[in-house]
Amino acid sequence: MSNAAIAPAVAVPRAGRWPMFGWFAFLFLVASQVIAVAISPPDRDMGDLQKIMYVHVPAAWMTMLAPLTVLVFSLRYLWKQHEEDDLLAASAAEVATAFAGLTLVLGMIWARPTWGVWWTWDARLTSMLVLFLILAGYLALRALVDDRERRAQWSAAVGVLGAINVPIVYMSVRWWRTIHQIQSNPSTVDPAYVIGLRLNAFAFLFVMIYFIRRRYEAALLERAAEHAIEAVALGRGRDTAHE
Amino acid sequence: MNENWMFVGAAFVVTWGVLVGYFVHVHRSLRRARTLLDSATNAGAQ
Repeated sequence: MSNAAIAPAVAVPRAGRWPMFGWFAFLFLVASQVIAVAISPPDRDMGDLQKIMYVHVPAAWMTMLAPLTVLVFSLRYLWKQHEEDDLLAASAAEVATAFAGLTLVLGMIWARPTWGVWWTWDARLTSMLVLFLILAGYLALRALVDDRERRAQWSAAVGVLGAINVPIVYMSVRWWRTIHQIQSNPSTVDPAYVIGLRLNAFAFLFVMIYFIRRRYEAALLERAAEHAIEAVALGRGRDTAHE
Repeated sequence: MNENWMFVGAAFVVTWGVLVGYFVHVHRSLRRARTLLDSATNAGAQ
């Protein structure tokens, strides 16, 4: 059998400059965290606990941003039926799940010394937990369904459902005033904390982009390998039939 | 070190744990997929 017979179903990706971008993201994150922790004074009420903001808030932002990537590529898949869109949505969903889990754990670490409890059924916490469970359900669904087309369609539907939850998570602190503070903006945050928060937000964004791109690359390679295996098996079957 | 720093330290340790853990997961997936693709392509060429 010739190599031409096992041309991959999806384009085989190249790493290109992404490893270098990964190093940039890593160094940017280290520098951002050092600068943020070093330059910010203790908060009047929370003291040094305020420093958890530099990891909790950017992680929460990425948890809301990544499902929007899932939404865009899920809708694109439903429209154009390109397998690459499904794989990209799945890669973003996996990264979103990791950030959602991280946000929840960091929130619990912050809640214990400030609220006196690890967990409470506050609207923001509950809606974030629901988002995490939808994303985990998305990944479980992909692991359970073997048929590629059906898996892509069902996961696109769950991906859209997860993204619908994002504005609910964002607005939950205004719609249901419970214990979690409302959103901050540069005019409500002391300038001493804004620079550290901005740097870490960009650092987390770079890390998230790197993770999604490399996970997508792995998914494309896995798919190309599956296709090559199927083509080999098909070729062998055809050879046997001719004998 | 006061108790606040213990929580701050825990938050940063968890963050780096998740980020490094996910980095390892992605790179293992990449290596495994490349090996699989190479072996499948070689099997097809034979």
